[in-house]
Amino acid sequence: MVNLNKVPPRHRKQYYLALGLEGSANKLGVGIIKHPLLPQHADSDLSHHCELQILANIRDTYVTPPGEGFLPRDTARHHRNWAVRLVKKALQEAGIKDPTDLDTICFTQGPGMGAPLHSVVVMARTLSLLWDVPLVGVNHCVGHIEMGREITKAENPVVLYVSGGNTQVIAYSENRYRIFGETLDIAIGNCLDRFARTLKIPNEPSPGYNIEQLALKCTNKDQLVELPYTVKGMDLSMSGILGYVDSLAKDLFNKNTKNKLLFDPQTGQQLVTVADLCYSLQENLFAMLVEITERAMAHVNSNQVLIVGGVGCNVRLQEMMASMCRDRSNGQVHATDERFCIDNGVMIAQAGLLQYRMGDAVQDIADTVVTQKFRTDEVYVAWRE
Amino acid sequence: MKGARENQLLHVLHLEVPFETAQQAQIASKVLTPDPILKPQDFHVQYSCKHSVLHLDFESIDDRVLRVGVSSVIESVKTILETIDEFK
Amino acid sequence: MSGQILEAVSIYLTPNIPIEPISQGAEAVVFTTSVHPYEPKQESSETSNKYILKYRPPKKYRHPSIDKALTKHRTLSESRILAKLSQLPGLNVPKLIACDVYNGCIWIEFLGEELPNGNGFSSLKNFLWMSASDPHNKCVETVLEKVGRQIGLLHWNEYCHGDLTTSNVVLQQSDGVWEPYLIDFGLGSATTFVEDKGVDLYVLERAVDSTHSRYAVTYNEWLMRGYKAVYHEQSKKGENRLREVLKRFEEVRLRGRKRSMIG
Repeated sequence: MVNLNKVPPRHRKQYYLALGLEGSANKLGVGIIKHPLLPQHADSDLSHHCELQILANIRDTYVTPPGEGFLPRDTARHHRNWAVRLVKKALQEAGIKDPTDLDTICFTQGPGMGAPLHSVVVMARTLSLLWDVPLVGVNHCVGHIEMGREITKAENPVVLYVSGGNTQVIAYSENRYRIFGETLDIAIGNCLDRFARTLKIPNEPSPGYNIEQLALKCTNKDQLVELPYTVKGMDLSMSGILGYVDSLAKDLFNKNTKNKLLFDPQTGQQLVTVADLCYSLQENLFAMLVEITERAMAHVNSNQVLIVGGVGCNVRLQEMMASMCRDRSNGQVHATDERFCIDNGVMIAQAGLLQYRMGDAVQDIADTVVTQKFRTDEVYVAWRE
Repeated sequence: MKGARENQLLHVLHLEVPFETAQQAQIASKVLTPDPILKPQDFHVQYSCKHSVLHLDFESIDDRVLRVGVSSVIESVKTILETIDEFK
Repeated sequence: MSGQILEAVSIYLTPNIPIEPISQGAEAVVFTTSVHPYEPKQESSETSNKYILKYRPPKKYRHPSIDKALTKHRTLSESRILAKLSQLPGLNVPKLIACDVYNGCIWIEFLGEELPNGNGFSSLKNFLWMSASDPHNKCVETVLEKVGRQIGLLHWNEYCHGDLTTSNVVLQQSDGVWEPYLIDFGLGSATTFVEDKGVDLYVLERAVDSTHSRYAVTYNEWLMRGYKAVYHEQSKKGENRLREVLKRFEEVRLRGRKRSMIG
């Protein structure tokens, strides 16, 4: 077991405090967490435990009108507008009067959209210099994984990371989160978001959630609209599926009765609804996700799955994963709800504090430059065996 | 690193941002300095502090690039000011 | 493995066919059995016969129509490909004995053995893990080159595997020398597209990277050396096709790395 107390808490406290700042996409998240300082005795060594306490977890989402995606520049402006207010509110909620008590300020270093990431790091650097609190740069994906592990207590799961920008199947080995499978083109969340745009359904609270709700309204569940199924080993491809289902939706809206899949060739009667398309798309995409996850589990001999990332709160995906696990011996599925699944500051604080406690804080402010590309397996995971 | 091409950066702008204290101006300069310029051959910026004033010197290949570059730095300066005002 | 699956298989097979489960992959459950599906029992034979029975159980998590289509398609295409490939000189694949497409069942030749010192079944994955203390010995190099040659031969003959990992290569000794066999062609296809070959190689490279991270660079080098050798032996035409495949491989790889990762 790894002793997490390499660096003692500042100011002789008996606990660690971390502020986490997330802004890699359209969510701005601020979180404050506490880890008690747990002792290392010969008879009862608890030094590898976190016993995470969440003192504040605030988020503000930049929501665009139906049919529109979020652009980097506007998203950055949103983050700049709200960042200081959110930090102030988080400190109040956490009851922290003296911010110099913080042990570390953690920020998302990547991957993500450049401009929004940058807008947050500017504030992070300023706070660090004002309060004289060290910075820690966090990999967004590792943040999701560490958050999920701490909340669900899944020790060594195969991780399915599904969000707007990422689709990866990850397993830990030798101090790195290794990517076993991933999308060869677009991410699952991106695929769902773009389909929601084609359908012109609201982006509030999130496009994926609205597709999920529409899919529940499908009354024709026996008649699945057949879509391409594109699993390549432990990888998968989704752009072809999106292109195809997009074209179906357009034919539906334009009342293109020549399309025999959608309209009865004799009577011209409409056979498929938007809800049917949403249902079929979800069924098809999620079956692929569950399949590549199961492939990775079989490959690394694991029986636990942890689902993280924004798409991870989809109830249907969780159900399908659970069903897959029931057919494997001792199979377990772990997932979290929207508070932790969707991008948030707490996850950055959690991964960042682990990193900080292992002695890996920023020494030179020049090392805080954010990066759009930052692969999950680039991070050295010192806090695990 | 003064290259030969730098002579072509003829469009210049000098800005001065007053802070309450010299330390605050220093902080602003330290926060702004790390980020790389996307096209260093087209745009250049230098930060320096004189007492409590932050000096920004921009050089650019044309006025359009200058405008875009300057406004992006100003957005960051605004965030720094707001952060300092709230948490100093 | 859940009892339900076992039960379903035994009902399907009737009690006359004893089966021994050996592994549960992602899409199939694999059993060994001593019974040949149609040849009469050879009482005289000294050696006990052993066959592999591969069963794709219905996956309850996915929509029944997706499940039916996939099971049928994969069982059929695996059977077809195995039948075709076993006729190609130099390619090592298990021989197909029987298939029942609608029930997702195929009978194939048994391959492999137990590795020494409790290192498990002789898949390439277990073999490489076993050799991790001495990863750069000649034996590992030879085996990986041979695996590369097998994949090269497969591609040269316009087939793709679709799921190349170190779990899907089985080693078997012949006169004390390890010979690799490609297995598990459920995602395989006959294809002339250079894209499919590029993706095949990329999937393999990534599988080696993640499963055998520490020595991945060398391992991939040895694999590719064997792969290229097949094309080099086909003179000018081979060189041209190799160049195309490698170019696409590089493109697929770049696509993977370049992909923006927002959110």
